Amino acid sequence: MNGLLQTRAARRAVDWAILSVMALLAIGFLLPFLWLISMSFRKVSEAYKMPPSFFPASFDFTNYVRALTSRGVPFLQIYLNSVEIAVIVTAGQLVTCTLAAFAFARLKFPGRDTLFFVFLVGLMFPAQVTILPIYLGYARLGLINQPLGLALMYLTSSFGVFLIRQFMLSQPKALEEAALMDGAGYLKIFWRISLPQLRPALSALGIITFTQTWNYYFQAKVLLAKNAAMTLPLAMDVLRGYMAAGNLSVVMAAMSMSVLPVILLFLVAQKFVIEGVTMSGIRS
Amino acid sequence: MTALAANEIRPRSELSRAQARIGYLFVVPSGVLYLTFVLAPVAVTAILAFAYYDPMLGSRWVGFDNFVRFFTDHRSLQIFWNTLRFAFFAVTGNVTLGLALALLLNRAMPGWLLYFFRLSFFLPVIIAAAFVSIVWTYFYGDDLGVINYYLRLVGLPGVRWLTDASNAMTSILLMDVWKNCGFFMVIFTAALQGVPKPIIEAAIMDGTPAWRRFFRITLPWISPVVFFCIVYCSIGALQVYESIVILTQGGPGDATRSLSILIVETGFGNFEIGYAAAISVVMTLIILVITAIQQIISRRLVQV
Amino acid sequence: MMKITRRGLLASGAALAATAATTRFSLGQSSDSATIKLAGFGGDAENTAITHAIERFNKKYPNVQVDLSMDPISTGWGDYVTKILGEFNAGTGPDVVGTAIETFQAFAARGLFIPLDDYVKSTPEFSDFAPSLLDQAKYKGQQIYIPIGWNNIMINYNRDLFDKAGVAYPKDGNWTWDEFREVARKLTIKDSAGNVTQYGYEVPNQNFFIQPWFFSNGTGLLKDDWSGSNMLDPKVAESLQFLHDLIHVDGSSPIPGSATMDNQFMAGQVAMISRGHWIVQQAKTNGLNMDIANVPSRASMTTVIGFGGYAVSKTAQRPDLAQALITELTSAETQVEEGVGGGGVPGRKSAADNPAFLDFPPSAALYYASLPNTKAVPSPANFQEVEKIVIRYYTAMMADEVSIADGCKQAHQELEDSFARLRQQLGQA
Repeated sequence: MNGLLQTRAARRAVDWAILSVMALLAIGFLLPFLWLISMSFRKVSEAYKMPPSFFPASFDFTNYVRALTSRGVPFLQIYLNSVEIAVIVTAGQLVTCTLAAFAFARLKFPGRDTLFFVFLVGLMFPAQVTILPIYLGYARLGLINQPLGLALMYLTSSFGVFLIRQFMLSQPKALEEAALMDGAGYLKIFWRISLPQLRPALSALGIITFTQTWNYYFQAKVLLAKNAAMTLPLAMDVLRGYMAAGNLSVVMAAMSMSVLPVILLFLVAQKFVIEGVTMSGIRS
Repeated sequence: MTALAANEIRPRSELSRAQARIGYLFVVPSGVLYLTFVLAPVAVTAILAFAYYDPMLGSRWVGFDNFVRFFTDHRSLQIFWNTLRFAFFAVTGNVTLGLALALLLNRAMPGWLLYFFRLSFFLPVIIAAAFVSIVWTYFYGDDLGVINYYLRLVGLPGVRWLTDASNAMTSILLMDVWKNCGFFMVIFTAALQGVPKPIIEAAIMDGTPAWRRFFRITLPWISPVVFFCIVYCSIGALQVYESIVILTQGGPGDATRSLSILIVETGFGNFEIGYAAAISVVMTLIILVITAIQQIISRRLVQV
Repeated sequence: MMKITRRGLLASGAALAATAATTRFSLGQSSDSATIKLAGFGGDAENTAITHAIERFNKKYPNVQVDLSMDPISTGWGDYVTKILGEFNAGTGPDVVGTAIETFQAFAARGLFIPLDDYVKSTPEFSDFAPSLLDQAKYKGQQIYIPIGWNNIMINYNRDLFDKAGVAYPKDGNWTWDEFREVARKLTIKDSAGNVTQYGYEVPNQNFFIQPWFFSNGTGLLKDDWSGSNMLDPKVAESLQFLHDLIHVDGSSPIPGSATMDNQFMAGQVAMISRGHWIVQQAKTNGLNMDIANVPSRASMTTVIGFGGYAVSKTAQRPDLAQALITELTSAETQVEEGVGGGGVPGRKSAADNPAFLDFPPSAALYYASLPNTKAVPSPANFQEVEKIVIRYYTAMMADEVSIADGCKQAHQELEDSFARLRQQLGQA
């Protein structure tokens, strides 16, 4: 109907329209972040000046130095605590959640759906409901003020099980069934066939779990009271000062530093998803 | 969910025994952790809901007193309504925008641009909510705020973003969508990778318009994940705590207070653990009912 | 830079230590061996001072390990109470608890701490403390807490902004409500578009900070003995109306929200702010040219005071060592270091007379001088709940969401309900 040229022009116009909308939106999303970074390079006396400016006028690292040398905040130790907890939890969830999700999505056994429902119900309890009994138990076991204790709590999650199961459900079973016919064991099917297909999902779960764990605040505040056991969000709490009267520019500096590893991780994890885009063309 | 089991031919019994064995084995690690760190504490909480718990002042059973107190408190209805209102709009905003972003980014463009876009939309998820407030209270300020500054620059009147009860919830929702839609974008992006290209390409060849391709092919294909996101987002939104606390602490008055904030304030602020437990039980039941309704609807809509 | 300041602190502390040492026991070391769990609160200044105090303590008791955890109290005292009570419930409570008056009754009513009357009697150094502080650290006639530093709310003002507007500083730090209102109006600046670029005052958003506006009007939000609500007193409504008018009639303050404006005060966008001594720490590091004045008076210039204290828990294995630790934690050296660092006004007069403390702000002597005109922040055992009720209605009234008359009535009812529950919990119903 349409001439080939016309369609191509129209398609290009649509492409450009979409790109510009996305670019505008992205800038809108980035503004608070830009302001955060530029604030970390400013003195308090300039931090709130109107008109607002979203770019640092100069790179003054005083706030960073103050964040790193604050007595209440052994920054390196705290950084390591956060990394330790986030790595353990992410690794743990990738294992436990995929195993359970495979069972719920691909295997049949008595009580499966009931069990799954019980897992689903777990999503409904906020940390505020479960933390007190956990605290009392941890106190008896000596797990208070141990970063490992916080990690232990989150080695599995209803979220992860549910997410991966839904992904498996949206994937064709043909390959797995063929392998089963060929006499492959379930472990092999899980490892060789299901998991590779799930790469985008696993990287999504990994990045989400890591981010969430990195940012646990309430739970960490209850379980990790000592300075040396703290995680980054708690460190920022301390930097905020007594009665939250502290220098917020220093908090912003600490925040900029704490966000970096998560950004890197996100970029790496996205590589898997983006590679997945090209791969899915070949598959099936 | 059970459709999967019903549709299949019943396998031989030896095979099904092996399946069951492996099935249980795979569930055990999660199951044990889940029992210890979720179910057991929840059971304790449910029991505490019937008690006045304060060992040093003398704990005692109080029957349904805590529940009666909640249902007769004049504040409960407003707080309940706030929670529902927030949840409805937060789910709509986050899931829709998350899906839209994922779809718009699921197209050919230079790699660096793709990375840039995805990172921009995911950045808010990365930053701890407790500290995002420092930025947003500045943006939402009345006279010294960024948004009002630009509004007035173009001759519009300033808006009382957070200090006016009728605006505060909208402002919180705006921030919540900014903060969380990237989360759903990441999940949808992953889900879209599973949609088989040949089917889409065939549809394009047939001249099927984009919107129909989306509703006829893409959406049904990723519907389990969409369902997941709706359920997960609803549950999270019904438990909303941080997004509100960091901006308004539930105020002005009770205008933006949610059930979770009430739980934390009574349990952790006032040390009324029994009462907080009772509110938690009520909140859990509400979430349970809403999730059940979503499950029923999904059985009709989600294609497995 | 920070190191030099710290060294300066140490030097001034050492001078005091030299005088104090003559009255103290000789430097014999104890062979006691134990671990003491210490829960402290505060920011960098307190952390530094407490760490140094522990180092001094360890010189005498080299085999006693002090296990310190610090809480910045960034989310109010309620969370801290719950955390400490949780630790005691789990059998892992600290041996020495540092806390503030807001929580004194909540802890003491639960019988967590031992009386320290004998310890106070046998430690002559405590005579240096303002007697009113020791009195207010009692519960049911027994000395439960040993006071540390205190904070009273003063008006902190930016002298540069006063100079720029040609407004005189309050003479001798005194002024009336009307004079204050006039000053706040003069210090409020708008740009051509009608945007406020500088506020005269921040109408406070926290329970502790708003108290002086009631005390100075000869009233209070609670009854004087903290046993019930006083919200129906017309003078309470009058105070609220005054604050309301500062915002909605004069436009000299923003509507109080959830965020405090300490940083905007440091940035010179707010000319006056009601805070305690802890703000000095920030003012110094930011080079802010500020001074303090008494709270404006209506009936009197009474302001609010809050203070910290240490208690020894019943579960402490070695109360004697715990007390020895408190002696060091409340010593003149520690107090000077905390005071100069900006953690609060030292409870010891000698520490508050230290030149380093009086150096900044220029009228720092007003802190101690205003002590006779202070009332303690109302802190019944249900303080956490009272505070939330008050602030909830207060912010609604300041935001014009509810009229002041209705707000007072409803707040009164909720407060009375809370006190009825408290009496029931304490078995007094």
